[in-house]
Amino acid sequence: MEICIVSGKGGTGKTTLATWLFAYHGGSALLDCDVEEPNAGLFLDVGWDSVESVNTGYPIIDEYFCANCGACASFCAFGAILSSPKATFVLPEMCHDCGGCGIVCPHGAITFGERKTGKIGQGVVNSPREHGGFFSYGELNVGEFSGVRIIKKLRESAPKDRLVFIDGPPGTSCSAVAALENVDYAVLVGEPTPFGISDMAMAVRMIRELGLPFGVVVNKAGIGNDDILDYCHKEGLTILGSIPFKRTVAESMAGGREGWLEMEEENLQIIAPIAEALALEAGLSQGVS
Amino acid sequence: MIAEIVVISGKGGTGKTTFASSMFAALGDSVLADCDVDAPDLAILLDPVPSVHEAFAGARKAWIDPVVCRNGAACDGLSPCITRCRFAAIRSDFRVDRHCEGCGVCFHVCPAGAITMRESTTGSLMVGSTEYGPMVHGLLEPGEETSGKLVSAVRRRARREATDAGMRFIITDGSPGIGCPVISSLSGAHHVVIVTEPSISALRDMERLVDLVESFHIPATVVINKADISETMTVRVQQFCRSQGIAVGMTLPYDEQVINAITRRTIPFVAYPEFFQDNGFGPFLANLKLSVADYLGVS
Repeated sequence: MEICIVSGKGGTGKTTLATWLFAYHGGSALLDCDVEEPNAGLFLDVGWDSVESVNTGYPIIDEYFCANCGACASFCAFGAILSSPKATFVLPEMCHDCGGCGIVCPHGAITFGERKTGKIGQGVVNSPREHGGFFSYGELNVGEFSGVRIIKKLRESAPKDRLVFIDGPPGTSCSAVAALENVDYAVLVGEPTPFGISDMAMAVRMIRELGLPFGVVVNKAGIGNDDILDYCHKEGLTILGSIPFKRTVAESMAGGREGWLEMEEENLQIIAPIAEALALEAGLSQGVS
Repeated sequence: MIAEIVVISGKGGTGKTTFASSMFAALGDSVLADCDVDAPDLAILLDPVPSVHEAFAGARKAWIDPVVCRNGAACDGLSPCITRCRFAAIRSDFRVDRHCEGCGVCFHVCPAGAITMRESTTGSLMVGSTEYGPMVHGLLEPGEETSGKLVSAVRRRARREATDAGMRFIITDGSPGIGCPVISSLSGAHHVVIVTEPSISALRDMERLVDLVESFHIPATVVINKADISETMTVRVQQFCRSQGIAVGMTLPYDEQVINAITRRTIPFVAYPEFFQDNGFGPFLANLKLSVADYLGVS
C-alpha cells in the first residue's frame, strides 16, 4: 500500500508528518519524492546501500553529416536545438528526450547520449524505533528543469512488500502529480491560514482529478482561524486529525535528527490518533503496522 | 529602466509571500508579479481589481482523430504512435492521456495523418490594480507541466505594466524549489532576495538555491525569518551566508501578529509597520535600491 503526503502550500508540515508516520509504522518504507529539495533524510539515521545517478538522453549532432537544414530545430517542441545555416547546436537541459529530432533528421546526423540529471539513494534506517525501515530519496541536480523523471524512477524502485509513505513536493504541478499517481491513498496537509486554505483547494482539485481517495491533516492548528474546518466540511473532506501548533515542535524540527529524536516519544503520541485514523480510512490491513 | 527583484526561498513556508507583499507596500513605485503559479497567494492580500484575465496556452497536446484512426485500422495495427511515444501517453484505445508532453513524435510517425497537435490551455494570466500598484499573476492548472513558460509570461507582462505605468521596480514572488518555475523567474532579474528560516531543512535547501542563483550571476540578499525559533541555526545560516559572500539584509523574529495580519488578509507591513521598521526594513529597502541603482541609471 502506498500513501502519498502532499499539501499544495509549501511549509505546512509534509516532511514532518511523513517522518513521524514512518517512525510510527516501524519497518515501513519512506520515499522522499521532493527531489528539488529533499529533506526527510536529515531526520533519519540511514545506512546507505546505494546511490545511483539518474540519466536522461539528449541529442548529439555529428557535424560531418549535419547539413544545418534546421529540420531538428523546427521539430523540437522544447527549444532544445538551435540551428542556423552555419551551425546547429543543442541545449541539453531543455531536451525532453522524446527522440523526435533523430527521427526527422534527413541526414542521419543525430545520435543520442546520456547525461546525469540527478541521483537516487536508498538504504536501511538504523535505529531501534524505525528498525529496518526502507528509505530512499531522489535529488535533482541544480540547474535542471524538472524532477519528474527522478520521481518516476524513485517510485519504480519502491518496495512492494510493505507499507510505503511518499513525502511529496509542494505545489500542484507535474512533480506533485508524479509523486501522487496511482497511490492507494493521499494525505493532504493543510494549515489554518488563508494561504493554506487557498493552496489546499488547488491540491484538492489535483487529487480529485487523479481520482484518489484522500484525507486531510490540519497542522499548526491554533494559528489563524477555523475557516479551514469550514472549508473541509463544505467540501465533504475527511479530516484525519489535527496537530496543534507548538513552538517546541518547530524548534525541535529546526535542529534536524537531534531535535527529532529528543521529541520522538512526544511526537509519536501526538500523531497516534492520526495514524490510526489513516489506517482506518486507507484500509490498512491488520498485518501492516 | 526597470529593476526586477525576485523573492525566493528554496524551502516552502519561510515567508516569501508575506515578505514580498510587505516589500511591495513599502517600496512603492512598483508592479507586483506573483510567479508562484502552482499556488499563487498574493491576490488574497492585495485583492486586485481585475482588468485582464487571459487563458494561457502553454503547451500542445496530441489529439488522435478516432474517425481517421479507426482504432488502429488505419495503420494495420502497427501503431507507431504508441511504440514511439517515450511518455506512455497513448492508451491502447488510441486516446491520448495527460502524460502527453506535446513532442510531436506521434504526429510525425502516424502513416494515416490521424494525429494533430492542438494548443492546450494550461493556465491563466491575470492583471489587476491594487492599492499599492498594478499586479500581474498567473495560475497553472493542477498537474500541468508548463510552469516555467507561465512564469515567463507573467514577468513579461509585469514589465509591460511597469513600462506603461512608469514604475521603476518589479517585485516578483517566486516558487519554492529550484526547478523550472524558479529558473524562469531568475533570468534577467537584477537582485534576488532569499527568505529563509533557521532550520536544517531550510539551510540545506538554501545551499542548493544559492548554487542556482550564483550560476545566474545575480546579487543576492538573505532575510532570516522567524530567527528566534533557533539561535543555533540562525548562527549557522549567518555563517553560510558569510562563506558565500552574501549579505544578511534583515533578521526577523517570529511574531504572531504577522500571522494575525495574514489571517485578516492584510499585508503585514500595513497592519504592523513597527515590527518591520524596528527590524531594519528601512535600511534593507534603501540597500536594495542602491544595489539596483546602477542599472536604473540613478545616483
